[in-house]
Amino acid sequence: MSESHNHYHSVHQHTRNSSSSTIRLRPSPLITSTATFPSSTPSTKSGDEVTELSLSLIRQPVLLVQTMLAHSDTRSIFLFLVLNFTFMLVQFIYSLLSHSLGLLSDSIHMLLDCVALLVGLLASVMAKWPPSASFPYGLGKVESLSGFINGILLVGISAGIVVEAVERIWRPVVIERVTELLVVSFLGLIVNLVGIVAFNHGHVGHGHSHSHSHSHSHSESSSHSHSTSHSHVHESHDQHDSRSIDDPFSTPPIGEKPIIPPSSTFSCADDHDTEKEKARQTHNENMHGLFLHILADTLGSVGVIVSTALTSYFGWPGFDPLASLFISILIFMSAVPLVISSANSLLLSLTSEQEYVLRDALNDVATVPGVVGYSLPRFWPTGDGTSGAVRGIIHVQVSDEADPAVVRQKVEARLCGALKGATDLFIQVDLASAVKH
Amino acid sequence: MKLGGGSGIVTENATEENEQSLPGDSTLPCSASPVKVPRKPFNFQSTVASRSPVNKPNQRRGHKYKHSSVSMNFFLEPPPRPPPVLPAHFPVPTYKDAIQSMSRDQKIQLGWCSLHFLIGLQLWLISYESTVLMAISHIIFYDAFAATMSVLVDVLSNFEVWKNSSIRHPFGLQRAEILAGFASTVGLLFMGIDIGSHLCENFMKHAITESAPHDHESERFYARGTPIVIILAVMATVVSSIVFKNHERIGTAVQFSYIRKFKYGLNNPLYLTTVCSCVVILSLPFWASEPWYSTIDSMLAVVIAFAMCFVGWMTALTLGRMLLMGFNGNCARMILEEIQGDSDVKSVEESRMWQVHYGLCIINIKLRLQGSVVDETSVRANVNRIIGDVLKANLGAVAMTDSKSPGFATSVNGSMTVNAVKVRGKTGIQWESTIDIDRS
Repeated sequence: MSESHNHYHSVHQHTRNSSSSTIRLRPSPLITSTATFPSSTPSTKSGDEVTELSLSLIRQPVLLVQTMLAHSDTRSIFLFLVLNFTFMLVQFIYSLLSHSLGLLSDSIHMLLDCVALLVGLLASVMAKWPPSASFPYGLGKVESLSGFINGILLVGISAGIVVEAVERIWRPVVIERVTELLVVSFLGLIVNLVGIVAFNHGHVGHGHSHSHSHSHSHSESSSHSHSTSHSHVHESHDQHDSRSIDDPFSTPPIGEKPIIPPSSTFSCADDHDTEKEKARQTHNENMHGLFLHILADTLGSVGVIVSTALTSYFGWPGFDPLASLFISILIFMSAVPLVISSANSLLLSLTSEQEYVLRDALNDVATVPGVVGYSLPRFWPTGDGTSGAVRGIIHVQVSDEADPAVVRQKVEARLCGALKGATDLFIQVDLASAVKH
Repeated sequence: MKLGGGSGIVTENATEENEQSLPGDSTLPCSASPVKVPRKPFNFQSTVASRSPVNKPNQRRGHKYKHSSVSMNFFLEPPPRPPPVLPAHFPVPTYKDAIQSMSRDQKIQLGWCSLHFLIGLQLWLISYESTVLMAISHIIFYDAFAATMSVLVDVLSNFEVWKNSSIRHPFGLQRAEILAGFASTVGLLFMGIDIGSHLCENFMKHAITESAPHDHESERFYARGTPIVIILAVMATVVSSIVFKNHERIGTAVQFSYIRKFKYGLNNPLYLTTVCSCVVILSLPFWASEPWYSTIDSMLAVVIAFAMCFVGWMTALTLGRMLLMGFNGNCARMILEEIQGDSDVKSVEESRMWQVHYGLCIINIKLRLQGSVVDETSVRANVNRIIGDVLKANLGAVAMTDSKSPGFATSVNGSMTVNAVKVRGKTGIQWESTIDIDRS
């Protein structure tokens, strides 16, 4: 027994040597604890049912508002929602008093905007809820989902605008009450500009530290370039409105990044955790979706103002549908990247560089002494997928003379060493003789 | 020291492969370019006497010279095993691949789907005054989308990447179906809200202007060809729901206990509303007079908008739960309680249970055993039995599809941990359990 143990030990050392020749720059595998989540079982929590939690929050509106005001992103959404809703209410009451139909439909449109904002706000709040029995990994994905919903809605809205514009080219509509329309769209423009500035303000700090980390590490080029250009949108937006929407579209598609050798991933894995956390916050699909929504509204107001001015100057009613067409195309083009990135996050697929690292790590697992084979390796990205961390499960078959507990620890150590931030791994160790039926 | 030979073989192999690849590379440009390269005096090919698999460092045990009569073998040679197979990389099919792989039937089905779309479009075009027809046309768009999706899933499930796990796509691409369903459901919900707001707006406009609500009665309320298009729409809805079961595909979430016993699509409120309101509109001339058309139209539209929102909301909740990696909390709690009741189990350290897509649950449990227990296999078997029992008892709690659903019958990777609950001819749900036993 003791002999065989010694033997395994030496084999282990040997494989470490050979593996270090194939994989360069690997930090020494640390046996880190796997449980970063609360280790208590979810069932012991009292408020683990999400509906219960939400109900308790709704019963105490003060608490809900406090939660919203506690974080910078939810605060900006909440304040803008209040502003938007107030404006909508004023407009609605005025439209009732003045018997204005145009104002009425505009206020209903704003009500739908408020609903979209509310969805984003709820997503932002829910994303911070702890894991529960119903949602064992927390609700981190809810922001991607909200971004996806907003992207889909924007695509649908742009299609609707196109249809309406075509119809109006077919049957031109004479616009009545021009001054009223102009005043309302100007006020709407101001409100939306305030929203854009508010969202921009929340992003500036992160964007700065973000570009900083970009210069250091090249491991996550996709997310970085994406969110860098995202913050670029915000910065350029103050100067000029209509141009900035081109920027999100100019980001490279997710799938087209080069495979980056894992060495750079490893070299900067340790000391950039906080910056990556910030990068993760910056690359928020929920905020991105809301921002695009507000941007679309702003463009709508600008379009109305410009087209009304042109129509009254030239007397041709076709400017209005033309502006609508132009704006809807812009909205569509800016929404598609959002839909793609959030869908990728929800599909739980790995990036090519993660696949590269993972294949390496699995090769490494196979060399652990006592391991006969493994099956069912499933590893998926955590959260919104931009932090690069993975979670996973794997079944390992061991030879009969090996100690399952020792093998389990070694496998865990190797996986944790190779996959930086492999947070909670589940490793089932079976005896090979028991597996074969 | 003894084992140094193993690593030597590995590195030698690596260098030899590099050397072998070099001449191959250099010959290619030689033939292409006119510049003559001086001939090498020798053209030795480096040969490998024996190529052993790379990842078998512990195969050569004991003495270096295994068959030497001088030494003794202290350790028995382990039985040869194949090198561990890495999960394959499956290419994602391109548009062209998908088209080429389609069978004739599938092409016909896709054609029918586009016809379904066209019928909806026609209905939408003639629904100038009627909100009901507009709402129905929206539902038909949704139906047509669902039917198209079921054909596409049928086509895509012939590809390996769809249903098999790979490193890149750990759960295949089946979640794409959930995602597409969710997108269309969000669309349905949005259209329902849109129609509702439209109705509100109309109502308030009439209230503001205080004009007679029936001011467009002078012309015909419904366009000329309306009855034919409506009949076509009903036919399209019925055919699609029978052939493609598109309602079941998306609307599995909306199976209520009290209408589940109905068959032929009657268990779906959306389907029911569409057909019923079509029948009502067709029968209008027989029992209502023209001035009432607008009012009846608005009332029907309210019902349809409500049904759209209701179905959309319920479906979005179920699909969204899957997309958010959720699970039925009660099921999870029951499983955990029963496991903790096992006498061999000291405590449940961690548990993560979630549903990936219609057909697969992932159940991960980290256990701590009582110190004396040796047999982990029986503990695992017991836990698996508990999971199976709980899932079988709560089949309604997890969304599932019909057994006819493509890409569903195959087990994943042929592993022993893929289990399935089968009830009443329906392949209910498969689950994969990973039971991590911590003995430290």
